[in-house]
Formats: sequence, C-alpha cells, structure tokens
Amino acid sequence: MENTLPKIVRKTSPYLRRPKASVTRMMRDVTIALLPVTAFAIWKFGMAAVVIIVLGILSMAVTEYIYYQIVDKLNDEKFKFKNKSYTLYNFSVVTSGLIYSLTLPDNTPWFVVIIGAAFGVFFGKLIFGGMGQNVFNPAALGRVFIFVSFGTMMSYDIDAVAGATALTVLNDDVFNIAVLDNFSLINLFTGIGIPGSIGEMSAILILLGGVYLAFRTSFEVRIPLAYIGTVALLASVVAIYKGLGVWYPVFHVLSGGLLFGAIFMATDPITSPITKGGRIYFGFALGVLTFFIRVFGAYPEGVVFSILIMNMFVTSFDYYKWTNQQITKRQKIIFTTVVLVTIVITIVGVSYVG
Amino acid sequence: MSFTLFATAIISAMLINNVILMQFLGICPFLGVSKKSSAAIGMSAAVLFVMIISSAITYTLYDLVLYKYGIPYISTIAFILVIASLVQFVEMFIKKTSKSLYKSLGIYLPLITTNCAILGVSEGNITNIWVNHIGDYWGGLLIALSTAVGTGLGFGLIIFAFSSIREKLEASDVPAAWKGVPISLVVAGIMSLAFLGLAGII
Repeated sequence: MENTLPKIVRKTSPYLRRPKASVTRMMRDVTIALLPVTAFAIWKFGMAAVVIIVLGILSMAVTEYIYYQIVDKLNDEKFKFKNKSYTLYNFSVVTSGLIYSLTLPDNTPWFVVIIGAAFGVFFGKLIFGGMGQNVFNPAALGRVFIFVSFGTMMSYDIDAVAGATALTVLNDDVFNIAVLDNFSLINLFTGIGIPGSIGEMSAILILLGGVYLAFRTSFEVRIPLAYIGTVALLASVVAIYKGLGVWYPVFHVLSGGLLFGAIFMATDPITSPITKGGRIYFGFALGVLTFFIRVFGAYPEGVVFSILIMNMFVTSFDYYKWTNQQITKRQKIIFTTVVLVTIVITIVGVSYVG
Repeated sequence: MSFTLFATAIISAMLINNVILMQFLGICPFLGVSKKSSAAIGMSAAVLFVMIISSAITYTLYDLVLYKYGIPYISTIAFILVIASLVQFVEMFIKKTSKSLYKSLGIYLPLITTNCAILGVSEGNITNIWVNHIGDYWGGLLIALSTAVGTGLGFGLIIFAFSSIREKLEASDVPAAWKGVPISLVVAGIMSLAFLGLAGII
C-alpha cells in the first residue's frame, strides 16, 4: 500500500531554472571569476597569500572529508575513498575556501586560518546537513568567528602608509577629506599601493569577475546591484548633507570589502532569498547595515557582519505569506517608503555623530 | 526631550541591545515557542503588550511610591508581584470581553507572567533611565515606554526569524544527534555572533 503512494522528492537549494544550469557549472564559474583576484593577491603579497589561500581551501576540504568518513563509519558502511557527499566535486567547498581566504588580512597566522575555515565549514554547513541546506554562509561565518576571537592577531601589512586600511582611518574620523591624501581613488580602484585584505583591494578585477558571472548568468545580478546601489545612495545623501563632494560615495563603494562581499558572498544562491522582491530587499538591507556599521558602529568594516545578519532573515523573506514573484504597485510604494525612512534615519544619525 | 530621543531608545532596544541576542533574556520562550511561525507571532504580540503595560506600571510604582517613601530596595519583589497580578487580571479581562483576542493572545499570557525579559526591562528602566530623569515623571515614563516598545519589537523580530529558520531545519538532513534543540542552539549562537557587528552604533 505504501509503495503506491506518490513520493514527494524534496530538492535543496540552489533552485535553478535557467537552461544548462547546474551546481557544478555555477560554482566553477565563481571559481573562474575569482582567479584574477587570486592572481593579484599572489602578485602583491607573494608567499603569504599563497599560504593563506592553500590553507583555507585545504582545511575546509579536509574537514568535510573527515566528517563524511566519520558519518560513514557510524553508519557501519565500508571504508570508501570517495563519497558522493563530498562537495569537492562540484567546486562548492573550493569556492567557499577561496572566498574565505581572500577576505583575510595578509598577516593572519596559519593556525587562525585553519581554525576559521574548520569552524565555518563545520558549523556553517556540515551540521545543517551539507550542501544546499545551510542557513549561514560558511565563508562569512568563519571570517566573523576569527574576527571576533582573534581580532588582534590579524594585522594588515603596514608597508604602505599610516599603518591602517582606508576604512580604519575613516572609522576614527568619519567625514574627513584628508583620507584622500593617503588613499587616492585611483589606487582604491586598481588596488595598487594600499593595504587591505588579500582579495578585497582591486576593485576593477572584482568587477571583471562580476561581469563574467553576469554574462554566464551564474549569479543573481539584483543582489549586488541593490547592495552597492544602497551604499552609494546613503553615502551620497550624507555627502550632500555634509557638503562633502562626490569623492565620498565613490570612496565608500571602492574601499573595504564591499565589492567583493556584494559580488561573491551575498550572491551565494543557498543563503539568499528566492523571489525577486526578496532579493532586492535583501540587497537593500545589506547595504543599510554595512553603511551603518561603517559610519556609526565600533567596527571599521561591516560587510561580513551584515551578510551574516541578513542570512538569518533569509527564511523570513521567503515566508510563504508574503513571497510573491510579481512586483506589484503596492510593493513599489512600500519599498519607496522604506527607502525614504532609511534616508531620514541616516540624516538624523549623521547630525548626531557630528 | 525630543522625538529623536524616543526613536533612539526604540532602535537601541530593538537592534543594538537586542533582548535575546545581546542581553540573553527571555531565552525560554525563544526556544520553547519558536517551533511554528504562527505561535511565534502570537507570542511576540503578547510579549509586546505585557511589556508596555508592565513597564508603565512599574515605572510609575517606583517613581511615585517606592522612591518617595524610601524603600527602593524592594523593587524586585514589588515588580514581580505587580506584574504577575496585573497579567492575570488582564488575562481574565480579555477572556470575559473578547473571545477572538483571547484565542490569539490569551493563551500566551500566563507563560509570560514570570518571564525574565519583562522583569529585565522594568529593572533596566529604573536603573538606566530613571537616574537621568529624577523628578521628571512624564519624560521618564515616555522613555520607559519607548524602551518597552523597542524591546518587544526586537523580541518579535528575532523570534520570528528564528522560528522560520527552525521550520526550514525541520525539513533538512540534519544529523540525528543534532536534530531539534541542539541545532537550534547552534543557530542561536551564530545569530548572537552576527549581532556583535552592530555593537557601538548607538
């Protein structure tokens, strides 16, 4: 009797609709798009970058390998060298490891790299049931974990100038045009001659990867557009309010990990909403959080934090009562109201910061 | 005493000093009533309601009675007694007057009477706000109410997100040993870790 019942096959995300789309193709594309950034990091930092990247990818893959071997052992299965659960074969774990390593500062000790990678992949992915079922982005989780636990150990290379990254300088003195003396916009754009995390510096190479992914339709364009657009919008509002000039929004977009996080981390298909409207709201909320943490918060950079915070609300965006693939007029009005309220809050906050 | 002060109090209590993820109060309803989203919404509405009336009553009690007659040290006992009897009274009142409201709200009310989040907000009101507004009863009361509204909204936001994550996890292939409460605790820990990023905004 039970065999005649129709069986419901539940698929895990990413839910791909496009023709020729598959997880392997998508993850391989992300890895290819990351290659210029990786090459730039290795060219700039030499062995330090190589060690961080190799350790990051290896420790994620090895953690996963050991985990599935133990699971097999507990299920009394015979030892197999290969297991279909390894996400090494569809590049998923390689992508996570590469993204994780590229967000690290160049002076990170080797054991910190290993701890963060193992924590991120185990608590972010494996115990949720593996690929496609995780709630939080493993790379962002590992990065935040070591940032909170080993914050003082991860220093930036201080050969360039003042000994701090552009956003650290900005965090001390929020509206000072003097930051441009040390960090000119063209340097921030090309990534030459500025300190920072090993993969987050060169804006043009990150954008190159983003354009490649957009042409291969391997990622969701709405999220990075909404994300970067929101940060630019809020920074422009602040610039107009304080009379700062056009450098301020451009500086916010180019500096720190914003472009990298928006293009490679926020677009993770598993930890982002399913609907169009949900994705726009997701990107908007990421932008607001990032900008607020940068300008008002205690930490200089808020990209990974805001990605982790918004990951926990992804299932709320996908809640069945208000998910809708069509964007109606009413939703547009609501969204406009939300944007206006955010702008008002920003101006009020800035007037208090001074 | 301006409008931005109240807005700051609401945002601060809602996001930056979130009652669950930053102050670790109200964990029992957070874990107990978050299996279904509908239950979580009802619970957070009840918490918001009780929080507002209880902080108004306790602030008034402290300002006009306990401090005036020199017995502020019994505030904890007095607050517990007042909140518990008040919530029971409100529950009876709702049961008599509105059946539909009782169905959506009333069943959660007895759960919250002895909740630490409610008492925490009341105590926080008198330790943080009251000291700065000695003698200014209405100003302090308004800030206490804004804090209560913000805390209730923050509670609702987090418990709703958590319950929808738990509904998703019900269908995931979580290993047997981690199913149910353990994976929920891991999720709660990661949520708390993420909210550290908001530190220092206000």
